[in-house]
Amino acid sequence: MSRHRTRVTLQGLEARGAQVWRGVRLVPLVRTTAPPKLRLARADVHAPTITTVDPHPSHPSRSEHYLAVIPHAYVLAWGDDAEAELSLGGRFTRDEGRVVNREHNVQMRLRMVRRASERSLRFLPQHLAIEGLLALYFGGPSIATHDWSERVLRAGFDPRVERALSGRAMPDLADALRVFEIVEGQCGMLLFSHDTLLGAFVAPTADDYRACHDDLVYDLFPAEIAACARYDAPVFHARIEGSPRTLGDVRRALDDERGRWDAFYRDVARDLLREADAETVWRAEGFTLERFLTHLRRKGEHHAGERVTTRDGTLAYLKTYRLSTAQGRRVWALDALARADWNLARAATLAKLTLPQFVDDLCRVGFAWMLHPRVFEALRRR
Amino acid sequence: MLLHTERIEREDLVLFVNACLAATAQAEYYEDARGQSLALDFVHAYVAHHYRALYARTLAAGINHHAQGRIVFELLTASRDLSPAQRRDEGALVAAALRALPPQRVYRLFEAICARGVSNRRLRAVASQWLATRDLAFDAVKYRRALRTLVAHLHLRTPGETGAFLFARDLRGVRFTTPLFDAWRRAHYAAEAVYELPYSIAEGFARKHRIPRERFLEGIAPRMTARERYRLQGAATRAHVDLAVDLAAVDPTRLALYAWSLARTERETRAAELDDAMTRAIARIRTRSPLALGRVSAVLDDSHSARGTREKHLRPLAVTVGVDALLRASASHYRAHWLSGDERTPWMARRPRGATGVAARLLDALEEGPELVVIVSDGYENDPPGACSEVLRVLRDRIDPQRRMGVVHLNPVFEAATLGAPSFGPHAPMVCVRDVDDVPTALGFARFADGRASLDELRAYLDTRAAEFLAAHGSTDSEPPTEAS
Repeated sequence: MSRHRTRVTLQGLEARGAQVWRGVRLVPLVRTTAPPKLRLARADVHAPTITTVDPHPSHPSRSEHYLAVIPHAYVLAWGDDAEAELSLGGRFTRDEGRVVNREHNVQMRLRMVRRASERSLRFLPQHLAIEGLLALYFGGPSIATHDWSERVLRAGFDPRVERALSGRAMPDLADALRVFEIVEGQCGMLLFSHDTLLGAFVAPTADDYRACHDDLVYDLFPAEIAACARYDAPVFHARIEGSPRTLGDVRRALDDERGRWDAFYRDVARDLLREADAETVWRAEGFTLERFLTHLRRKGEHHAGERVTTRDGTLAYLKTYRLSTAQGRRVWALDALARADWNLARAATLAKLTLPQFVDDLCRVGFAWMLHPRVFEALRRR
Repeated sequence: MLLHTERIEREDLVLFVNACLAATAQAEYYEDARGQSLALDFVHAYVAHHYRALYARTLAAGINHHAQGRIVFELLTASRDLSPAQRRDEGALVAAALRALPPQRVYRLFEAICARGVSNRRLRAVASQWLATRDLAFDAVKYRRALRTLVAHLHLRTPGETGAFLFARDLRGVRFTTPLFDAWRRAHYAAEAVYELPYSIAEGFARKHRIPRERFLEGIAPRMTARERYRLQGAATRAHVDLAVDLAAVDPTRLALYAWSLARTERETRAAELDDAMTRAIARIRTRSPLALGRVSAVLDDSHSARGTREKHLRPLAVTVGVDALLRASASHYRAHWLSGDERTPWMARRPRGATGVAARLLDALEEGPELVVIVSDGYENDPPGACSEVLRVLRDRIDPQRRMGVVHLNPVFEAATLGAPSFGPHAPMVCVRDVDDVPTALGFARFADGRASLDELRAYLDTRAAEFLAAHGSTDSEPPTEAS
């Protein structure tokens, strides 16, 4: 798996007018180019999945500690008969996992991404990205200095905990998805709570999107959004400006209005559509599955996600998770430390902060435990 | 000031009549049943309190059964401060409305009034006058619980064995000479007697005797009403029983729903028959209320929300399809603009899909220069939101200020959240319709929704409708129910 820099784009897709339901704003994405030769489907509808991960090189015991329960898995198929391949890949064979609880049909799987048939791939949506996020700098400081507590030196960030809400707990989301009128040719969706971008989902074809539309309610969302999502979002009404004299003028004005929607939503989604660090998870005939995390900043939105792009850059699949502010800050702090070889003072300089400010940041996001008491002692003495 | 109050009163009444035309307190695509019910409660209480006389007149305005039931309930439960003349007027309207309503609704209504604890001479007179028009032996079997409640609550006299039948606790040693009562008694013990009872009652006994579904449906078929036959088509197909439904008598909305319930292959093989039935259903409506229109363009909503809900599955689309057929038959020049842009598909194969972008289709319709543009939509526009009212505003302000082109919005859905306010702004008068039969009425009513006709005209309109209604359903002995009976 290789890490590289990339840019998240919505290549081959165009935003249409949003549909608002209470606090939820759903922006349909429609393909402007030919759909890629890929298909996506939900693996099996009634079996939640328990999964573990591959042993981590710096922390081999982690696979024993890692357990995730995921409500659904996706199958991605390619080739000329992708549709047939989908049903092949959606079937679970006996050897690849065991049924943990027959009554509730809970299955045990072993890996996040695995080949399901000759030309299909099974993976866990959103979870792939979140697992990547949790695994980031999981081993703890790579250089042991006196600044770090014994616990972080011994066990790293085990257990690394982040919390998120299921879509079912998001106010009005299920209703918004139900009443949303899927646009002709729609292949994707930008999901907003008021004007904060919660996530994006893109499927290869319109049929796949239609089949997976309701699954958005199983996705994860940052808990902090749920509180403000209780209020109704403003509805932006179309306006015809100027002084049209004929019906043709009115039509042109409406078309302009339509163009402005697209520009507007691209603008609102700019915190997702920017530079990101990506990691390739799978590469097959003409497409790449990768997980990414938008470029880290001290403030602002961060999105983690996974996507499939074809060779010409067309976005075939995308699913993102928006990090809460604290989660973003945590990842940013760890990243800053890692880039400074886990030297506190150098990390603070890199982040353009004073040392007390940087330490304060660490404490605020819940990382006080990883600093040795003598760091605070020294700060107090200064 | 006077003008202002008049305008408020007119708008209130238009809103109320709209609610009565469309709302049935069932869940709609965008709203749940509870919200609908609450909004209706409010609208009814408000109008009944402020405009009592017009409230009663509305019974005659061609409103739906649910609304008629609500109005009669309101009128019969609160009548303390009325003058004798008012009582007489209301009594005649109520009696006519009860006669026009299906009996199961009337029995449910009376049960609700009894549950409210109302018992007075007026109610007794209304109930006994209505019961006099019914076949009591049949009703005693089919609506046994409701009739028993009513008779016990109001201390009514019942002829012959009816009382003994209604209040029979123990069937041992009881003999009835009325054939239907006797059949009911025997049905407790013998499976053959089940087929002498009305379908809805027989069904319970069939379960008790464990009669196989196909045998039961075959045997009970002659006892079914037309609606029961229609409703049980699916069950009959599953049980491989042929339950012929007389398509010639079905109204356009139900016909469309029936066609969509068929499997695709069957629908395609019976296309000609269904098409013919639709033509005849439309012709029936046109003979009942003649409608002659000039150049008409229609904007028809087949977006995803026309799917309706589980309770009213596909109903908005069925109404839209019916309106399409009616306008096509009634206009000298007609063109339909479906939101999906697909005008070739026959009505039988139409499916609700896509977003609601009314504005672009409205422009298509306006460009043909018609005399009348009819928009049939649930009014929830989202692609982009508000564009339709914006187009209409520009049309009225700049392009067609002389109103050469009329615009009417027919809404098959009552929007409870806005209490049924016009969804496309003030320039598209909105009238709700629940059925295709309502459309001629609705087009006539649109001038009040538009705000061009005055309150007096509206009053006169309701009075005329009331007179027609009384003439059609009024009592045969021309004696309105009085309190003295």
